[in-house]
Amino acid sequence: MRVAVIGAGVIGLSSALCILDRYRSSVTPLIIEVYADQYTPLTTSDGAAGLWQPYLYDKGNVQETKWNKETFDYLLTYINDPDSIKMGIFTQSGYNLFTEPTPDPSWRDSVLGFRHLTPQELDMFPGYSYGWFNTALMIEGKSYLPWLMDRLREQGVIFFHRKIESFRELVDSGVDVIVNCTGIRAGELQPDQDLKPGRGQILKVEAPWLKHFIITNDHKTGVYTTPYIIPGSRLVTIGGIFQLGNWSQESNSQDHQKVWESCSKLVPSLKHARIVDDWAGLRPVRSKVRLERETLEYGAAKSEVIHNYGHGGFGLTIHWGCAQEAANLFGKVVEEKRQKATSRL
Amino acid sequence: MGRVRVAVVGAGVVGLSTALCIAECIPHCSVTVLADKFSPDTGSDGAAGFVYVNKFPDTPVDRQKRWLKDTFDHLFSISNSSEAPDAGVYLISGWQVFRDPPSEKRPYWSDVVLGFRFMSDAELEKFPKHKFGQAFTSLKCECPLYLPWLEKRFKNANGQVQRGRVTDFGQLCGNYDIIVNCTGLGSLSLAGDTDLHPVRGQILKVQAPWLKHFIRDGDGLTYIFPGISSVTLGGTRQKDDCRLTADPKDRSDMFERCCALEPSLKKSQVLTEWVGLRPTRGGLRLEKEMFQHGSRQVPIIHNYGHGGGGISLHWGTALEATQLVKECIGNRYLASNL
Repeated sequence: MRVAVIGAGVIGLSSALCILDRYRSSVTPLIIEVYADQYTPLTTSDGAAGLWQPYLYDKGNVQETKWNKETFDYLLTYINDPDSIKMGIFTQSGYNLFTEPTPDPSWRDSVLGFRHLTPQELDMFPGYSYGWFNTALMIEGKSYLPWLMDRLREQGVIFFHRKIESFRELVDSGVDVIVNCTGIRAGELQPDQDLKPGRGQILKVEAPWLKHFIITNDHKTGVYTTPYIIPGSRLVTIGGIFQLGNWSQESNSQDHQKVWESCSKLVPSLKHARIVDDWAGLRPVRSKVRLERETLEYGAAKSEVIHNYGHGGFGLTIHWGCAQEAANLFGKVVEEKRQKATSRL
Repeated sequence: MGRVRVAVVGAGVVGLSTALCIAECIPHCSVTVLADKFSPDTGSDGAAGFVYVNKFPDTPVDRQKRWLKDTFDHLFSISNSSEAPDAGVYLISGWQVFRDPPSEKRPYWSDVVLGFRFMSDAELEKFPKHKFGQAFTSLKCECPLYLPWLEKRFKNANGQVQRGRVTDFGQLCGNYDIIVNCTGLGSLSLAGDTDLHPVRGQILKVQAPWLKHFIRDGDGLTYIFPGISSVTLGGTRQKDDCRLTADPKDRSDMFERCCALEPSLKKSQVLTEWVGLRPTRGGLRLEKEMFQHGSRQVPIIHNYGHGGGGISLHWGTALEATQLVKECIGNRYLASNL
C-alpha cells in the first residue's frame, strides 16, 4: 500500500508514525511518503510554546477530551526516559488565573496534582481572584518534530520537499491512501468554511529565573486573548494574541507592545528580560477537529483520504490521540480492501 | 548621645542581611561589615539557596518557624517585584519524596511554604522507589546574586565595608560600641564554641535548563535544585569533615543518586563542583553576651550556627539580632543618663 501524508507539522509526522508502527508488519509493502513545503523548524508546531493544555471546556466534545488525555498519558510514559529531553518532553507546573470563580476544566483529571490556588498564591497576581495549579507537560516542537522525523527515516519513510497543489495529483500517481494534515492551509486542497486562522503573536525572552507557566483567562474575550507566560527549555514564550480571520504571518509592533506590556504587568521581573525573538503563527481554528475519511474518485482513479486537521491552538496537546484515531481509520481502509479482495475470489 | 558604632563580623548571607537590617531599621547607627571573605567566596555562595530547613534539635520549634516565615515573606515579596532577577530570588515548585512514609507527614513549615499537599499516586509513579511525597512551592535565593544585591542596599543605607580578618573581638572594642558576630564556622576560634562543628557538603552544578522542579529525597542527602543558570545536584552530610576540595567518589555517587531520581540528568553537561562546610550546632546561637575588654564591657550579639539553613533563616535571624542591638542601644542610653 502506498500512503501519502501531506503536511509535516506535529499532526502529519505523528500520524505517519502511528500508521507505520501499527501496520508495518501486517501491511506489506507499506510505503509512506511525506509531502510538505515547510519542515521543522518552520512549521506552526515549531513556533508554539508547547504547553500541554486543552481549551478549558470541551462543550460536549468528549472525543477531543479523550484524545487530549491519550496524548498526555502517552507523553508521560517518556518522562523517565533518558531521551525525554531529545524529544522535547519535560514536566512543568504553573498557574491558571481568573477574575471570577470558574468550574474545573474538562482536563482536571488528566494533568497531575490539580488543585485550586490558595489566597497567598493569589496575592502574587493582583486583579485575579481565583485560579488553579497543576503539573503539566511541555512538548517542544523544535525538538519533537526532528525526533519524529528520525523515527520515520529509520523505518524508510521518504520526505518530499514539495507543495501538493491538489489531491488529484496524488490520486493520479497511484497513492492508495492520503492523510491530509495540512493544518491552516487545508482549504487550498478542499474548501472548508469552518476552518479559519486564529492568528497569534509571541515573543521569546530570556528569563531563566521563571520556573512556572502562568496563563490568564477571560471567559468574555476567549482563549489566548489575555497574557500568558510559558517558560521553555531555553527561552520563555510570552503571548496573548488571538485574532480570528487574520491571515497575516508577519509580526506587528502593536501586538508586540500589547504582549510585552501585559505580560510585564503580570510578572514585573520580566522588565529585565531580553527579547530574543518575535513570531506570528496561524492556529488552524475549527468548530471541531476534522478527523474523518473521505473517498475521492477521479474517473478510474480512486483514493481514500483521512482528514486530520483543524486542531486550533491545541495541536501538540491532542496530536497523539488524533494520530491513533487516524491509524484506526487507516485500519478500516486496510480491512475494507482485504474484504473486497477476498470477495472477488 | 553620639552615633552608635556597630561592627558586623562576617559577610555571608547572615552577616550582610543582619548589617542591612541594622542600618535600615536603627537610626543613629553607623554599621561596618568586617570580613576576610566576600561573595563569591563565602560559604553561602555555593549553596543551592533553596528555602527549606531541617529542625534544630535544641531550638524551640516556634522560634525556628518564626525565622523561617520572616525569611520566606521577605524573599516572597522580592520574587514578585522587578528586583527578582537582580537579587536572584524566585519561586520554585517541586516534590520531596520518601522511600518510607516519615513519622511527621505534615512538618512544622507546611503552612509557611505555598500550596503544601501530599503527592497523589499518579505523581508518585515518577518515583518508583518512593512511597510517599509532599508537593509544594518554595523560594530560591542565589547568593552570588543576592549577596552583592544586599551589599548594594547596605551601602545605600550608608553602610561601610572593611576587608580584613578579625582574629579577636578585642581588636574591635576600641572602635565599636556593639559587635555582631555572624562568622559561621569562624566562631570556632573567635567565640571558642565547642558545640559548633562543620558538616561537609559537596555539590555538583550541571546544565539542564529543561528542569523546572526541585526534587528532594526526604533523607536530605539527595537533591536536585534547578537554578537560574545551572542545576545544583547534591549532596553529602559529613560530620566534622573539613576537606574543602571535591572528592571524585562523592561526586560520582551523588550524580548516580540524582540520575535515579531524574533520569534526564544523564544527558546533562557537568559545569562545576563545590564544597561548603555547614556551620552546625545543636541550637542556632542568637543571643547577647557581654565581652570583657579591659575595664569596658562590650555587648556581642551572636548570630551563627545556622547549619544548612543559612539562606532559609537569614532574614528572620537578622530581624531578631537587630532587635537585640536595639535593646543594647536602649540600655546604653538609659545607662548614660543615670
